[in-house]
Amino acid sequence: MIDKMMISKYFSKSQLKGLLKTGDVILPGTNVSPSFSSTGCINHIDRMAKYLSPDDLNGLQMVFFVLRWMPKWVITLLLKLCSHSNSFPSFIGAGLRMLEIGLKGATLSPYYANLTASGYEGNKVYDVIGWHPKFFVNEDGMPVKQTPVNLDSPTSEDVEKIYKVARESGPEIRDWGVKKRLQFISNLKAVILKNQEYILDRLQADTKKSRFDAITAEIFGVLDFLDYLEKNAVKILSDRKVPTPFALMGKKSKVYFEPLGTALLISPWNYPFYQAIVPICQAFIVGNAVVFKPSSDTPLKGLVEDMLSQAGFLPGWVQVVYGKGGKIGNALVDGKPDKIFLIGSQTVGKLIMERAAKYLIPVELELGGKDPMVVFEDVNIDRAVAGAIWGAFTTTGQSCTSVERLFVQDSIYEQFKQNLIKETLKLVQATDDDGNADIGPMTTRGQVEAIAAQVADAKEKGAVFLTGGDWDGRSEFVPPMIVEGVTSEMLIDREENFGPLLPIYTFSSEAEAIDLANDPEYGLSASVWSQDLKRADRVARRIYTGNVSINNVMLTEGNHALPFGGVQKSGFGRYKGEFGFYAFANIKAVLIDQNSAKMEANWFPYTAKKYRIFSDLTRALYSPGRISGLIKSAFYGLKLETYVKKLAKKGRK
Amino acid sequence: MAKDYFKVFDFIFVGAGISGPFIANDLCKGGANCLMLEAGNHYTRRTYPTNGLDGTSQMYWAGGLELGHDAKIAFLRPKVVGGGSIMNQALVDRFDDVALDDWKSVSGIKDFSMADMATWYDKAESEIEIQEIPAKFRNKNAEIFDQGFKNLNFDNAPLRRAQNDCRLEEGNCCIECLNGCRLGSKQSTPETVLKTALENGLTLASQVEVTQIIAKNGDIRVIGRDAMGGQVSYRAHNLVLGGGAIGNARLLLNSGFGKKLPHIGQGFFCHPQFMSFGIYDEKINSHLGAFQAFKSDDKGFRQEGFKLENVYAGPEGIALLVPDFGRIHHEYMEKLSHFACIEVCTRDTNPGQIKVNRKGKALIRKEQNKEDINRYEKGAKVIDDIFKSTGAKEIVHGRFGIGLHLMGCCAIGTDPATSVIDPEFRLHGHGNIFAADSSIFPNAPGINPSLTIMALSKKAAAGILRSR
Repeated sequence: MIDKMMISKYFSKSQLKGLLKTGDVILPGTNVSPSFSSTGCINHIDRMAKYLSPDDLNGLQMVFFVLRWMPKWVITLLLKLCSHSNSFPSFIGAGLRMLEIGLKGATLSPYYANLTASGYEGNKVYDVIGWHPKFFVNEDGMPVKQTPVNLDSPTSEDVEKIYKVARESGPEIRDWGVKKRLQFISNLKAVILKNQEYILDRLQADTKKSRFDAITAEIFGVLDFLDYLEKNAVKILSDRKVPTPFALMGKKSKVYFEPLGTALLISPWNYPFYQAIVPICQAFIVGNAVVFKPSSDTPLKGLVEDMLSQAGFLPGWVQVVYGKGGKIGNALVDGKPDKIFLIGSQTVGKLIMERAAKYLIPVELELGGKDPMVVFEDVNIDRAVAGAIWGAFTTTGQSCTSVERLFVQDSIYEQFKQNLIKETLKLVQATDDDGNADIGPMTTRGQVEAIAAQVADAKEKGAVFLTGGDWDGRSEFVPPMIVEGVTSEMLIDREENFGPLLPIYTFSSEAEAIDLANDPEYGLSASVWSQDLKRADRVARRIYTGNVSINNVMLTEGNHALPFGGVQKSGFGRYKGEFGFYAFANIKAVLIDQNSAKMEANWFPYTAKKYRIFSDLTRALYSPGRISGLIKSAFYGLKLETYVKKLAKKGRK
Repeated sequence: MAKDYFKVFDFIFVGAGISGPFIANDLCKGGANCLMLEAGNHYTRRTYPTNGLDGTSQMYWAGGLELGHDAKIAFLRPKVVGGGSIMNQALVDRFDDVALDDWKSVSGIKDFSMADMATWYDKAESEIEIQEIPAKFRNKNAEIFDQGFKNLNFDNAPLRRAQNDCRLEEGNCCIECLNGCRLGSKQSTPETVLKTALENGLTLASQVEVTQIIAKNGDIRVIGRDAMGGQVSYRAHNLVLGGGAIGNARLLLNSGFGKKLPHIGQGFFCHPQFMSFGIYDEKINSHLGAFQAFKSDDKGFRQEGFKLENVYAGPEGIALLVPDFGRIHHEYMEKLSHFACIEVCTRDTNPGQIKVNRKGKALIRKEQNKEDINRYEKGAKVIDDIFKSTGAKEIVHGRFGIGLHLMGCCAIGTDPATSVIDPEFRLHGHGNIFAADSSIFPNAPGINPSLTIMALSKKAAAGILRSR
């Protein structure tokens, strides 16, 4: 456990440092008393700051900001002066006394209220000073104590409580504002970086994936996303002014990006850390409270909460709910979140959407894919082969954007195939601890069985296994399998396999490639490989899919400024990038007018004269001919306004 | 609140402390349609903050302490439904001849006599329960107080407290009662008159800070700010001010009443109180059990203008009062369980003043003159003697004084040039604006004000009902 990181709504980081420094001068600690900083009571400073008068708060902020840069002996000297305030002329003495009470109040109050950071293990202040007043109350006098909400396999009553907590946290999160919320994100980044090895151990224990896969996709990916938020969130979520047309002169138009309330996030088992932190932070930064449900296969129990808590998140802000889907999923939807965001399978997507439809809850679904890779004859074969192998087998093929269909132009097919087989056989398969393995075993038993069924079906229908044909159909170490001679009757051609299975096909022309790459059902991502970038772009535009990488594979996800999402049965909606913020935002239109005596032309009463002027104005405004139109519209606009004024005064005659 | 915008109430009360609920209770019983506005929060015995930090932050103006211009006295001004009756030490004492005679001569009102006030004290006491702390529940701090008085031949008396059952026999330690009594024993207004007023139809809006009064054509409009910072506005035929000395003065000054009534804000008193600590070899544990049981009851002290109280405070408060910082501070606080505590409360003679600045903020100007300092020093000397005579090893005087009894600024009197409220509890020149809280005190009585606020409120309510 590293120290919990403190963020205050009322003090900046440097002001907090000033407070901490001052606290340690006033309360340096002894062999029994803890020092001010060691208790972590500063974490509770907002409980006090919230109620200070604005003047007092400003004063303290300023003082702490200055003291932050003072050496401790200067603060000591200052406090010594304060101790002798009565020896100074009255106006200096008064200033010193105010300073003393301000500094001591801000430090002594939280310290002697026995408050500490969570996980504090030193001497408690109440024990040191012998403060143990007993207070016995029967049920009648007892203040209502909140029992902690059960988050592990919650019943529907528990779920009700979970949403109650989330709804109570909502306004609080919103009130922090984007900039302060971003400080929690920055803290989280530091916490993850610091705990990287621990997170990797936990990830490998749950997913069995290779350490290299884990670090690149889950640690690097997450940090890169948080970095993107740091650099872009404020800009994207700031209020925007939009143009106000001539006809609405004198008014202002704005767009506010506000939270929706409570977001329910459901994630799959394949990238359990990335798919937790990224959607959680995306929803949080917009200001939503989050209820997060990880897969029961890779729950990483306690890890996400631990990281968030160390970064200063309060427990109600993000609640992680554990347990098998199905019943719990239903109960979570029945709790009526304001938004549901699911990454998972089509089956679960359908169930959730159907249930959400009952309450008209907006859903956003990121489902699977059957992603094509199209390789034209003019490519660098070695690079394309390496890309194909990585795209098909990284994380043992358990990615929604894995290459699941490889199309190679017939003129290079044989050479490409030989290279593909040769390089695939070199892959090292293990759950390693040093980064030396390429792929791990499969994560879930269920997925092993699904692959076994596809393999058996393909073998029966005559497919040729160029590698991995000797797999026993049971071992979780499913080897990379390159399959030739796949026909449309085979499951492997149509169903997402979510494993290290790669069917390869040939094509002869650009048109045929496009035709083959366009899947009738899916459309998540694709890749196009060619020396001719114009051709590659042509093909990229013609493939009906959410994301395309050109001369690379699965790389749109490598840039967090790009949106992510699918078409057809691969889901809908976009997350990540600028558009990802909108998935969790109430994009509010605001028109601001002055409070005046003025009446609007389009309000009652309607009169024939007003109708005529309005009709003239419409013509003048929207007919071609800029200069004369402008003069005319000004004329009619003025006329209309004068008439409306007259109407307001004298009424309809 | 919008639904109340056009509604015209019979009475609007500003402040739900002690006076407001006492008057409202009687008026609501009489069938008046009343609205009470309070800037603070409405806690119940189930929701009082139990942590000292939260209690101080949430239940006082400015998050705890307010300072005057010379920062020698820290003012504690309650901001909560129930006001001072929530966090006071619940002492209920009647005034004596000394206090009332003084009031009579300053205000020109003949009714300020023991005989006349007795009726109203009786009526006030009938609304609450009053008990003494039984001798067997006195803690060690109380014993030192009592022993010291005996050693020095001074008179003391057990405290009369507004409480009904502190269940001390169960082993309760009542120190947290300073942040509201969870047992419901302390006879705060929410447990007594406010409760019955609400049952009789009073509308209470908490977290509404009244910022302006407009009195026009015999009608009152009150403008305020709600918890979200939005503006609210209410209308009534009559207004009762119960915002206390600083609150009433600030509101009246900000509403422009100061032009015709120059005395608004003048004559601010606060019974400056100074805690002293005696440090003993043995453990005293002043925070355990009933933390207060005695007061001084000595004629000599009364003449000298001070009284002594057997009190204690939370560690956050005491930590601010002990001297120095760093290791020396720690050394004192590590001995906290060896502390006994006595407080001198002075009857201040030098009037202070409340003004408002351009932003409408109240500025407190309150100095102690030679006489006031003299009174404090005499009291502190007696405390020193008590501690010494009972074996204290070291004596510590609190670093600054505390103003808890905030009184005056809208003095009652016959002459509009030197007072603000007329003998019928109406604002001079305004037949429909009333006040009977501590702000109408013409000077410092030297006795805890709660019970007298209740009695005056009873009297004011009776007057209002008679004239209706």
